[in-house]
Amino acid sequence: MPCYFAIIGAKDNPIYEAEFTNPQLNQFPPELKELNPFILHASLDILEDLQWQAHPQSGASTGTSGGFLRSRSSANNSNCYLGKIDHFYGLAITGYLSYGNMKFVMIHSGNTNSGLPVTIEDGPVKSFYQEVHELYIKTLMNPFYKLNEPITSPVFDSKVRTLAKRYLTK
Amino acid sequence: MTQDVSLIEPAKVRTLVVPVGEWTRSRFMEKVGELQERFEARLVDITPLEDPNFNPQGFPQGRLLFDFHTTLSNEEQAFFLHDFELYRKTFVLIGLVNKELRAPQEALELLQKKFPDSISHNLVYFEDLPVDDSKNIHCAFNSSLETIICDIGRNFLEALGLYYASYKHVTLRSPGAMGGASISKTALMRQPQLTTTSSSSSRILSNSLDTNTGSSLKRSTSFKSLGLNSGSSDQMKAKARQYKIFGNFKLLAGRYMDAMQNFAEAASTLHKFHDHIWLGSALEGLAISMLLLTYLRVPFQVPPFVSAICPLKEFEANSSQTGSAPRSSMASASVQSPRNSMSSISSKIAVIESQNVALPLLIKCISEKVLHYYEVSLSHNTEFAPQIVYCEHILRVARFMSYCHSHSELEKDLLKNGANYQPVASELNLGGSSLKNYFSKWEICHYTNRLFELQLKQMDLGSQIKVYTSLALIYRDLNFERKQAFISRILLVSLLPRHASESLLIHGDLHNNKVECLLEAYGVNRSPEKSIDDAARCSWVILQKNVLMLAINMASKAKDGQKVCEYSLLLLQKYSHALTQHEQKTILQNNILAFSATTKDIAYWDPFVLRKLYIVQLENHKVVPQKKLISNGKDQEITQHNSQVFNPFRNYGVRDTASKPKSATAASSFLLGETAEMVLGFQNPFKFDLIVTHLSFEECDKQYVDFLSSSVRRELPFTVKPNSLASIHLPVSFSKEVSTKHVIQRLNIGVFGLEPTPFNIVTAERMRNESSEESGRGKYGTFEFRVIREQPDLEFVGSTFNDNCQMMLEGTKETFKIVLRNQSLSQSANYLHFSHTTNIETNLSVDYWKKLPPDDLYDVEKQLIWLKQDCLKICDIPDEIAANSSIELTVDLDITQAPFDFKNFDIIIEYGFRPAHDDHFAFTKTLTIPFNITLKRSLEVSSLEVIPLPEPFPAGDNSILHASDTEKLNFNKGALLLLDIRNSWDESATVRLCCDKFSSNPQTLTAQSTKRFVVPIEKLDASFSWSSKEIPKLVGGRQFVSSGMTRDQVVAMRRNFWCREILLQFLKCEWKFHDVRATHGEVCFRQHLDKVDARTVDILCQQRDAPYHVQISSPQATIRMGETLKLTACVTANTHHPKYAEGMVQLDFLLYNRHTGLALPKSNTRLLYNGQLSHLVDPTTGIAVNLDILPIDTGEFEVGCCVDETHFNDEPVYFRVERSH
Repeated sequence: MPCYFAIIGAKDNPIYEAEFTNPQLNQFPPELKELNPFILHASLDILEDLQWQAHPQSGASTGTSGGFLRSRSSANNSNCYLGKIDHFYGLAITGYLSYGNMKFVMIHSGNTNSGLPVTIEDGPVKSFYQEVHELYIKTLMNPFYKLNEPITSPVFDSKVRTLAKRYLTK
Repeated sequence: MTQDVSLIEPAKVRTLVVPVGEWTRSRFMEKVGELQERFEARLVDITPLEDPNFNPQGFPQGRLLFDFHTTLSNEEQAFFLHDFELYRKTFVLIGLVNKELRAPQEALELLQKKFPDSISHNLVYFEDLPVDDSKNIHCAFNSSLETIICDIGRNFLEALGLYYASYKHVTLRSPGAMGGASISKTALMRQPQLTTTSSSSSRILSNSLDTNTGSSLKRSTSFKSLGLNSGSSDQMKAKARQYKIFGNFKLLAGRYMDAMQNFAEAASTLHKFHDHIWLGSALEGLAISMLLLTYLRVPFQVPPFVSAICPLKEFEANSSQTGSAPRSSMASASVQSPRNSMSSISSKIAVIESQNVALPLLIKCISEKVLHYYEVSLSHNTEFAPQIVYCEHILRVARFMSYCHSHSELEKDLLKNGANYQPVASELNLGGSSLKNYFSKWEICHYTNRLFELQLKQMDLGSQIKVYTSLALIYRDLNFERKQAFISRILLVSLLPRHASESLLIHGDLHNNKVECLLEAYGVNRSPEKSIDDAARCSWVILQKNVLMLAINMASKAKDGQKVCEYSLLLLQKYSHALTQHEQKTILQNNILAFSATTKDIAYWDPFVLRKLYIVQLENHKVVPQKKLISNGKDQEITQHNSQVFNPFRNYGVRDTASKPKSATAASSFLLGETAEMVLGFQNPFKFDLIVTHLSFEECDKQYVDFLSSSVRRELPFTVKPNSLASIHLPVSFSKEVSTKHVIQRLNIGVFGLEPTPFNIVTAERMRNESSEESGRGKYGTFEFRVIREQPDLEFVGSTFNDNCQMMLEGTKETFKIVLRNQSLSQSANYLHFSHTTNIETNLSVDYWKKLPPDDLYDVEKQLIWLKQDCLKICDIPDEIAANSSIELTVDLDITQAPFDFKNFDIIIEYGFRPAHDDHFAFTKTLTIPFNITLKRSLEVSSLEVIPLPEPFPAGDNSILHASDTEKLNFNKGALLLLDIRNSWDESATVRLCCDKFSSNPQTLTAQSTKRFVVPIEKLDASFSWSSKEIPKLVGGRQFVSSGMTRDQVVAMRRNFWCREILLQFLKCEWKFHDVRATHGEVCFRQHLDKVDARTVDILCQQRDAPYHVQISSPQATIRMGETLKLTACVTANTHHPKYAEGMVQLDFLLYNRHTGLALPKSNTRLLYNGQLSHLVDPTTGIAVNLDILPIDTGEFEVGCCVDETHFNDEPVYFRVERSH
């Protein structure tokens, strides 16, 4: 299933954008391709809303206790994953929030254009996010990289794509 | 403004307000606004009616809610829905009358004719006309607007009674059945919930309800009044539908309690017969009735049907959320209508009082059911829920949820249209009793997302607008700006392809407003041209570009050239990097230039267009005078000093940065009326050709400099290729004198035929972290220049030298004349400064002094000083050369000491006009007159040699020395200087050589011959300190790097140097040729004499570097055999010598045969000596040691001395032994 992934900085600026498609499977139709950033941008509202909820009623129903706010005390970053936060027609949007307020957002599209909402397998998606988060932190440690600036490193890109291949576009 | 939905819309009476007579739009809208403020008419204020169904007194707490519109939208589309959802019909028509000529009654009839669908027509006069106050004609002039509204309400209720009567016997059909294909079916993208859970639940529900539906029917009194009897299922269904519609009527009429009952009863019946679509609608009506009752604080019992289909626990007000519903003071009174009590069911289902219910949850819960039933209906061919109904229900409930989120209580603005109220941040109410707690933002969002399961695109435009605007408003209330922007964008995109010009025109203002909001929401409203922070900020360019493109398309659709232009400019300015070439070209041609004629204030948008500006002199033009300060030469010295002090950092470019400002401050100077070339550099960052169509100076610059009249026209339009910089050269002329300097900062530039605007010269972009007081983005450059008036113009007319060339003999002098003329007719040259340079100076490199050893340097600089000071002398320098006059100058050229490579020299005249009032500076020009000189050799010194003079020199006729000379010479201290002088010229010459005290007789040298001169000279004084006297430096202020010579080398060099200097000081040679002109001159020995060699130095300077000196002397030079010769040796110590040590030294005499040069053995047969050859002496005492020698053989002998077997004496003693006679 094709995915559109972006890391959004503090000023709603995309730091990194990528589209994960599988040549054998369906790709984003061109008109949707254009719309993807808009959909992502719009769902940031919800992400920011969920960010401050102590007891999010929805989103990550992944067994974690409490929302993102609770995750400060917990040792692992499992609470960063907010699960499915939004959907738009057949597209599902999942979100992940880093402690530095970087928003990792992804649009999942179904394999077919049936318009059926995509079912998200939380496990692999969460793993994907966590590993990208790790990559991002490594990028952040680069002294030549400044916070909130676009990540242009081809290494980062290829690593993210490898992760996507492993977890998402199976 | 009328496009959004509110939850209570089904309770509102749709009213169309039309203008009658003459109105201006603004005044009409003002009146409509006044009406809209008074949309609410309380039933208690309305005069009672006879009709029992709609008598306002039946439910005095109720309200009539008018929904005023000024447009009829979608009447034909909604027509099929009128039976199903009654409120869609436009019931009331109000004509606002102003300056109407027709009689009121006539106007009313016309209105009824034009709008036959409405059931109640009213006219409201705003004039001072004595109108007959009939029922439907109101005068706002006499009575208040509130009263009029109440009257209109009464008229409406009356008409509603009649209208309802016509409905009584109509079989109600679903919109799908009536409209067929013209009603768009709800197009759910997912499968409708026909699957297990819903069907099973409905089955369970229907089972459980079986008992009480019957009872409720039995109990229903109003059913009987409707004349309906329980018959077949179709009949029952029809009856239930009637009942539902009746509920709608009651809702409109403000009798909410009745409406609730009707809806409840209808719902239970419809549920039984699986008439899902009507059931859904009835449930919705039920929810609205309950909401309005709660709002009016009328306590009620929740109909049992509700608790039957919705799980009680979902909406029961628990401890944490209590206090929302029971808030009325009337609650204790518990005024319950008899019908209410009758309908309260005493069976299993408990009666729920409204106080115990969390209304928001209940409504949400009902809404879920409504949607469920609507979805279930979709499987049916005709009895399906139209999409608009489905959507609007979602929107209404979502609206209500967001209302709850932003309010703590149900307030009056619940009744208003959503667009009109501002969400109040009622944070003050922190108590738990708040509506806010019921729904989270996420929940609301999740609920609205149901809309995106529908194919909204298939709906008609009006509905789409309605859906999207409502959705956007909901998001606005939730502070979801990005969501709102997204929805707005979808709306605009969906509007775009339609040719709905009229609706666009109507809402033109709205769209512009919306587009502005949209641009703001996506962060387009930045100005990277002005603010550095903006330029450095990252943003989502794709979104911004996309939105701007959309805005442009919208504006062009609305034929709003101004806006098209504005947005296109924004796009080009900020996102040119994200645009393709084609896009850029299209934007430019179609959007900007096309509207440039009609739109004002379009100037070129790139503030950095002008990248450079300067004026250069044309090469073929006259020399432009340079400003010269006439004071002292102090600053010149300083510069020389700077260049000659060693700077270790020079190679690293440090000095470059330090000396930079100097070059930057220089301002160009131009002559008045001069034509020069202006160079302008333009940048074009875009992907289209930039066409410069206009160039002009600003007014303040124009008076000093301007383009030549035709040049601009000829050169323009000038095209700058895409993504490039280009320069244009334009001739300019200077028209006014500028005494100090004038600064050009900007230039008027017109591009693409747009209005020319001034542009600054931008030299560079400012970086983000640069600290600067200026806030601008660019670093601005300037061009400074000075315009000076006409200056004198000197010309070299000629000289007495033929072609300024002269052949000269070395060592001669010459005098010649030059003639100068001031060509200027008006300006005299009253500042004149003469100087000259020779090829010797110009050929020297600047740092010639660095590599030369000190003695050579002395020579070179001595020569340079001479060239500067003595070589050329101008005798009669005038103070001023008057305008248009000539002068003759006499020049003395002295080349007596000029080097052989002296070939040419320039006379340099710096001149200018020096205004009397200002003596500090003048503008000067330079006239350089070149002369060529061919030097021919005259007399040369081909060699110089010094030989010691060991014995008295016999004076004689053949001798080269005269007797008088020999007398002067102390042969002990004397030496001979042998000079070969050659006459290289073609004429014989008379030569006279002088040296110190000696001077020769004039001698004749024939052409091309050499003659040796022997000159006796004295040895140099021993007291002269050779080694300690430094070689003088003629130019000061230099920093030398250590030469690396050892001390001995330095001493040797110094000794050589001083030796040569003394010789040069003594030697003098004058000559005179035997030609017609009797050419005469002097030999310059400095030119000819190389450095003296070490031997010469040894001879001339006896003070060798030894700790001891031995002086041997003999009384005679010739003795006879057998005579005794007494030699005396005197040892002196040189206490300055480092090897000097106190104590006795050994002195040895050494005897040699002079002819063979061999030493004689100690005992020999030729010389006998008395005593020993070795002696111990104390050098400090200076006692002489004697040696008596008795020669016994003839011959010539030499006696030397040796101290300590290491130091030999400088000069031996010679003697000759002759036979005794």
